[in-house]
Amino acid sequence: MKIGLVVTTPAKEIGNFKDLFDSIKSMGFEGIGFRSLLQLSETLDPSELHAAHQYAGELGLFLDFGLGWVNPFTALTKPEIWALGEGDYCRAVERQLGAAQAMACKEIVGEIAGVKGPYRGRYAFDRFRTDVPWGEQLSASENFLLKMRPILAGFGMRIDLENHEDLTTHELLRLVEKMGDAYLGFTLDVANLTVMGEAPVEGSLRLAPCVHLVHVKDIFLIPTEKGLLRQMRPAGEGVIDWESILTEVYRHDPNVHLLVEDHKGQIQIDVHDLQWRTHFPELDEKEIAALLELAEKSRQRVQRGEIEAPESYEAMSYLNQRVQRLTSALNYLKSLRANHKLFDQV
Amino acid sequence: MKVGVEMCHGFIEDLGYDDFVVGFDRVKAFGFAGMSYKSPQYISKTLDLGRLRAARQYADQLGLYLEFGLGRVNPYNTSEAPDIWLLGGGDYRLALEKLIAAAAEVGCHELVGVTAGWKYNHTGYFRFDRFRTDVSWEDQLAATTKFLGIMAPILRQFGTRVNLETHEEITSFEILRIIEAVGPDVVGVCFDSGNILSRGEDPIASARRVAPYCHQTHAKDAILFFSEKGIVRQVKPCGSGVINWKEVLPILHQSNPGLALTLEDHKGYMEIDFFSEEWRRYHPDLTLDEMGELIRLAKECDTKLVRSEIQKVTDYEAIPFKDQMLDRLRSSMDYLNQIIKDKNLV
Repeated sequence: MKIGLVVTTPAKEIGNFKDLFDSIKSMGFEGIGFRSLLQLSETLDPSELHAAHQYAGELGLFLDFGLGWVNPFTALTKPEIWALGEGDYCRAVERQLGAAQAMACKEIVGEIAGVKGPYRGRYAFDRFRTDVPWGEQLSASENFLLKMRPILAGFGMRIDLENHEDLTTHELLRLVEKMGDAYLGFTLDVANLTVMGEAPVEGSLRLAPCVHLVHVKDIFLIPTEKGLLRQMRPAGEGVIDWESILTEVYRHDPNVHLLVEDHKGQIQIDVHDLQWRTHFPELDEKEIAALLELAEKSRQRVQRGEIEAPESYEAMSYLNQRVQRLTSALNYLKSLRANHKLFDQV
Repeated sequence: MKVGVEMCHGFIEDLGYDDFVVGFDRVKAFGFAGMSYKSPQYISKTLDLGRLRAARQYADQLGLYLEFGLGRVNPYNTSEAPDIWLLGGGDYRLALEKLIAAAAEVGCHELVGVTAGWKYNHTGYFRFDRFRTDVSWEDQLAATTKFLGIMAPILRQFGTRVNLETHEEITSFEILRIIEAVGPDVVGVCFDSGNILSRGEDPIASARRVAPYCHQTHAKDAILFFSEKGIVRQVKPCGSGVINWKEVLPILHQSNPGLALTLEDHKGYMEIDFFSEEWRRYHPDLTLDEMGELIRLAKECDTKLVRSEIQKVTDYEAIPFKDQMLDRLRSSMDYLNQIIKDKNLV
């Protein structure tokens, strides 16, 4: 088990990648998770990518990448990816897989949807689109993934689909059943499970056998009239039971990469709202109850003075807290790894 | 029948869209009977009813018809229309409802709908969503049909119909099947006389097919010339190409005597690769009769090109559209008006 950091900086702002790699190394991280290969080379230039891979190797850093959308309903929102295939999206994905494989990547993150910036509430999530039901998006994504399977087989690679704020564990498990676990696995984002009304431990344990990458951030839950409000905290400073989750994930893949994906931002989880519930037909009342208990635990942690109250915490600028948050998450994860002896197995 | 102009293809490019009065004045002064905008948002970005009503009033005062488009109705590419998404705050259905309501408020109940957009950044087949590799065209048609089914109650409530344009990616056969599935009261055809050529359809046969459902048009003409892979369409003013308007207009008139012929003129080649097995595979409705007719029309053009009765295609294409636009529009308008008069298509 290694611990890296998610980097979202666009290529143009990265400048010299060596400076970025050096700074991440000096923080104590063991690797980097890029959202896209394009952050290192906008044209997937083999020599640029090779240089980055070589330097990462010299520093002992692992490099992971994201592939972008595997949902044809959202695919058009990334024209930079379409450009890689000159209008042939399958070719664009194939080129990315080839470039990642050349850097010894076996696992690559896939996404079905993401938060849509300008919109608020439910419409920030593709699950709630009104022009196409979520079920049809799932089936189109499944068709696309199946189409990519021979290419994945050729490269010996696997797409690790991120649950994000859209995909439930049940939906992910059905997809892996169709694709086969050699070609499809999961990038587990524990904090995001809660957005779909799933309990962190129970949801993670369902996915654990196929988890090869983990996005790490912690949560603080606040009860609201309609359900819960999720606030982001660094790992160890929230209410997620990381020990139960990570020991189980490690049992299935001892070489799993944890990627600290830290940010602020609150999301409403309307578990008491009947209309919201119609979008989650597989909700389990026991898991809703578990989430409500986590909200109570969150309250108790504040009451005991262990962590900052949510209002004052959210008011602080993320940039001012960033280094402290990342360091705190990293130290927490390293100590958990040491306590449970969750080191890589060759 | 009457002849007007599409406003979003250069006719008022120098004026912009801020002042509809100067735009309408130009339409009137040119001798057109009216105009069509791709969306009511070209009159008012925020769909301000006061402004839309004023536009309607001024059009009426000048005796001009006013038509609008609705935009994308294929959920696989609605993401390419962010302005519309914003209108609904992320709820695309609501956005279209707002557009439909605004248009209805000013008496516009026939709206052009499109199933994709021309992809300038790509080349060859990948300019058309018909040839996407991440999702089949059949799946896109199915999603479009479902979405229009979802919109049907809203359309009925406003007494509005979406007229699917025979755009460059879709055939009239496919549009007719959507009409059959959703209902001719809410879905019709916007007959684009130039685009049907691109999909291998004979203009007269195509006009016969769509006439009972045709409530809007985009009028343009084209010549056809041979290439290695088949034939190529070069857009020309009405009367200067292969379309037999003396046959086509009475067919359309018989079903809809008040039909507006809206000139949507531009330049550009489009390949019709009859000789390519791959291209034909993408056109399962292609008939031998219509393919034969287009090859005959191409042969006629070829003879005229050899005799220099038609200007050499590369020479003609080299002239910027802007330099010819007004002459082309005038010649198209006069030609169509003459047929309307001669055939008494009033």
